[in-house]
Amino acid sequence: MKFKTICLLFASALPILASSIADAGTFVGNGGNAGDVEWSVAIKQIQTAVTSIIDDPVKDEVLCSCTKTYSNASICDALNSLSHEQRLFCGQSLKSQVRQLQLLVRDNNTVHVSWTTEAIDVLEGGQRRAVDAVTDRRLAQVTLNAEHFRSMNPSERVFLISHELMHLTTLGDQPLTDEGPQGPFISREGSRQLINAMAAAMTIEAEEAGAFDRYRSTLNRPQGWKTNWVDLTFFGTSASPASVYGVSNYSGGSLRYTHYLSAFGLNAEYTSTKGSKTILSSVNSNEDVSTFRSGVSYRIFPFKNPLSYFGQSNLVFSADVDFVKGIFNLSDPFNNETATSNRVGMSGSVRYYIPVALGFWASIAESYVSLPAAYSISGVTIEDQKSVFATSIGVSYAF
Amino acid sequence: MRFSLNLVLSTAGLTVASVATLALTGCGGGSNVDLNIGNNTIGKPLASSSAQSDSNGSDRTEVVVFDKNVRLIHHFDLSHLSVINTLEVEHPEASHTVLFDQTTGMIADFSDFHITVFDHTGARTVDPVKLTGHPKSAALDSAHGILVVYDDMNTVGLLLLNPDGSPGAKWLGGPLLQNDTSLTAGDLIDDGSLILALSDGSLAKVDVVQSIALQSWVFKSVSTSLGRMKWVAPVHGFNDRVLVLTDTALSLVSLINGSVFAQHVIDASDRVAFESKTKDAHIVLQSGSQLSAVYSDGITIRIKPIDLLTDLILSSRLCLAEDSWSLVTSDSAVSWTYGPSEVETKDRELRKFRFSDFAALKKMALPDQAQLDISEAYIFALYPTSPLGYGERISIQDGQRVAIKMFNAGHIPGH
Repeated sequence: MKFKTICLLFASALPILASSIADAGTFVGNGGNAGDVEWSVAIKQIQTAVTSIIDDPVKDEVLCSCTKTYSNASICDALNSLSHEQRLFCGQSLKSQVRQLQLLVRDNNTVHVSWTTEAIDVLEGGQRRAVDAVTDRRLAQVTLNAEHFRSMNPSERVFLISHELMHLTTLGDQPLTDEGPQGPFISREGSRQLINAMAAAMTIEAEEAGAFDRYRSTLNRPQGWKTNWVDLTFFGTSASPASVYGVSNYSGGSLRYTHYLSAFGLNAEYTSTKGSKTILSSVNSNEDVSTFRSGVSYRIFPFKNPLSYFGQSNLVFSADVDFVKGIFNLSDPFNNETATSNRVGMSGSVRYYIPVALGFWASIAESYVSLPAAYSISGVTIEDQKSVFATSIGVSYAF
Repeated sequence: MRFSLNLVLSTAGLTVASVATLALTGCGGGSNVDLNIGNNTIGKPLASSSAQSDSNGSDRTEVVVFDKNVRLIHHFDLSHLSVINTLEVEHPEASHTVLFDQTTGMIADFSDFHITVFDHTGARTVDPVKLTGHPKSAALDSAHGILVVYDDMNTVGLLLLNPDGSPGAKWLGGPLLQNDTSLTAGDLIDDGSLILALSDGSLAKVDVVQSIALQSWVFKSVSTSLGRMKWVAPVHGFNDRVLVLTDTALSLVSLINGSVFAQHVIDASDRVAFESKTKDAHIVLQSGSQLSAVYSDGITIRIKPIDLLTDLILSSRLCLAEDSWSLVTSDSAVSWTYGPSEVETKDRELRKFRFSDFAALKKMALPDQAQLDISEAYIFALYPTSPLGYGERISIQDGQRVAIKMFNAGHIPGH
């Protein structure tokens, strides 16, 4: 019955799996890429800022001014240096840009994010310059270095994305670029200066609207895209051995490592299982089973929203080859006999991981594992149940 | 009385019987425990393991045991310490005693109201004679193929055995041989005759084969001057005389005319501490710290005293030909409420003497909580507290132990 349950679970997960594959690489991301959560949160925070600006307009010069919160922050450097005329122009421009920004951040399919592990630089004025991001207007795509992006604090990310999104808008009839003067921003890089000022104003607006507080726990939550998982689990199981000496109840622990190459991963695990039984009040059976198993895993995220608690939870299906070694001891007040048995078997498991904190996860799993087939002690064959279901709970760390 | 410790240790029913005896004799405060379990028997009291000596007292190399853990009969080879065969019994929940003849391979299993005879192949015959009581003693003559069983309803089962150990002709006889006399004790002698002591003080020499053939007692009786005889033992090498114990004396009595060849009167200060038919029949008298072996050399009755203080004699083995006398004694084996207990039995010692001058040849502590069978050279100890099965053969000479293990492992219920 339990094996059927596993099969049904796996079968029901297939649509989710298909959906996850289809969603890979889309705007919001599938929770399976480094940086996706930070990107999505930044977009949400920009949405909040945009909505705040639209719904609660303030004077133009106030929009591009630093608040007390950010008075000493580097993000205000772009605002504190503005002249009155520039501040006014900044506020007017931002009010006109927010309508375009609203369209850009409204759904998941308008602007795409492309992740890279390489440093990003651009050619400007015949010279290469290192940048945090680059935007392809034609593709409506922002390219980011995942590690660098994740290392930023939330306000820095909002500033950066706001700046890049500006490049997907037009001011007047012209695309907004980093080059050339714009209104009272008369220098050769006046446009960049204006964009930075508007991005700074967006960041401050997001802060004022409480967007950073709202998503703090989301950003602190462990993320499922991590490729290396170490699991420590404890389990219990019961068996129905054929022999009166066979152990009926086992418990144990395991240490497991999984490395994900994609949705598929490779795993290796060591399990120690022990069980004992007393017969006729003075005959003791003790079984000690050590298992090394190795196999493949397939991971899916059954819930769509990666910014939610359950959105980071993931299901992992595994199939392994078990190398099982058992040591069986049968004793009474006068006898003490031991036998060993080795076996190669198969096992499978379904694990559900739930994010906790600080990179740690909780897990619950149901496995179908192999036991040693039989022992021979003093001419007596002690048969085990060859495979059993085991329920386990554990803690994992992903990195 | 039987030589082996097993009677005292193993059979619950007999332990209860010994409790009754203790209560009636009013043992209290002192250390002299009178078991007297061998009285009113034919042959020797039955035990859950066969003796290590055959009916002539020669040591055996095989022993049969009813194992209470798995409720099966194990047939052990003591030379190689292996299990030759394991036999299922009828009514395993009942208490069982066994008898074994190594010559024919016959194993007799006794339980409440039942006898099962196994031949040398293990083929069984259930109830070759149908008893209505609990078998309590038996005599076996393998040379003549005769088995005599006596139950607590005073009924005697006579059974002829084939050379392969299978049962042959049989008859069930009652205790009344003559008009108003009934049997009180008995045993087989070397020529295959069954000697029965009768309540009128006479001795009957029964022709077992004819009795079975005619389905009635066929015997010749002689009157004696003795009173009620409670114990009869053969004198090996002599077919015309037996040893007889009454309340007052141990007598060597003629089967020809009932005359008393020799007699030892039991002093009022003496008590019969043990009766043994192993090897050479004898009794052990105890008076304070002195033990006396009273026996017959076939010609007269002799007595040999030795200063030996002990609470309880659990077995006694006298072999005149080998000039040896072995005793198993204990000073802490007795519970005043329940009598000797198999589980609690401990602090037992084997003492072996050169009989002619009582030079001490061996003093040896015996394993606690073990069921013991003792021969001239070995002790076979079975440990009932080991459900998986554990036994030892212990050399009396050097104490060397060889174990047999796990013989119950394949027979634990549920396996």
